[in-house]
Amino acid sequence: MTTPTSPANPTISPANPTTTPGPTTIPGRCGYHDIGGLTAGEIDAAEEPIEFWHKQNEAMRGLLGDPLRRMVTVDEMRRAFESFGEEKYNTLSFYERRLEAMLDILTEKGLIDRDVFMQRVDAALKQRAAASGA
Amino acid sequence: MTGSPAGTAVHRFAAGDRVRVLDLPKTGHMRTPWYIREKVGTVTEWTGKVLNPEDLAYGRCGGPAVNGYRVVFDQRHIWPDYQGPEHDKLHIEVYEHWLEKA
Repeated sequence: MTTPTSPANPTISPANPTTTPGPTTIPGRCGYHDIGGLTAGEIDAAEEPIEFWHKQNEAMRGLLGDPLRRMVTVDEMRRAFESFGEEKYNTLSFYERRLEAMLDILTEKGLIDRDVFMQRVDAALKQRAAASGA
Repeated sequence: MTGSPAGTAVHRFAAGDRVRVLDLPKTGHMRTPWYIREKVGTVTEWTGKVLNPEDLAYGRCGGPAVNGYRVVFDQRHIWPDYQGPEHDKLHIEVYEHWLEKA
């Protein structure tokens, strides 16, 4: 096992990292799921309203992960969003994280080109705006 | 463990066993957070066998399935500067290959 020589990742470390020089406080080995021991305050238990795109998102994930496709599994998706880094993870909502993670996995596998995908999204949005304005 | 169907297989630890979490030099998406590594806790429950999520996370088949355990730790053991009550515990699930008898 390598001995950590660099200080613990300042964003993913206990309140006082100097008292817990754990063997694996190497920044490269920390994901969102490695965060612990921090004061987090009250838990916000308010239910978010479910929007239609949330359902579409999950339907898409279900299709992409079905036994005949196996293009994005829940385990891969989880790896993707737990690798976002703390700031990006906390900026996005639950379903935004899942969508972003899905795109990351599809990109990683070379199944989509993110730029082309975004161009198509923009084109579709313009088309929709034009249709509703007509 | 050879030949045992998933779900009914032999498992190495049982409730009450004292275990130490290994600091395996594995890279990738590990589900054993760094803050419990090399810490000693007590098994409270065998949670069954699952395909290994550490492999599933990379699109691999995840087999053979691995045993999981619920392990309880004293918060003060994990965080030496812990400010909460002495009896506070952390209950967390750990896969068998991350544990050794303490």
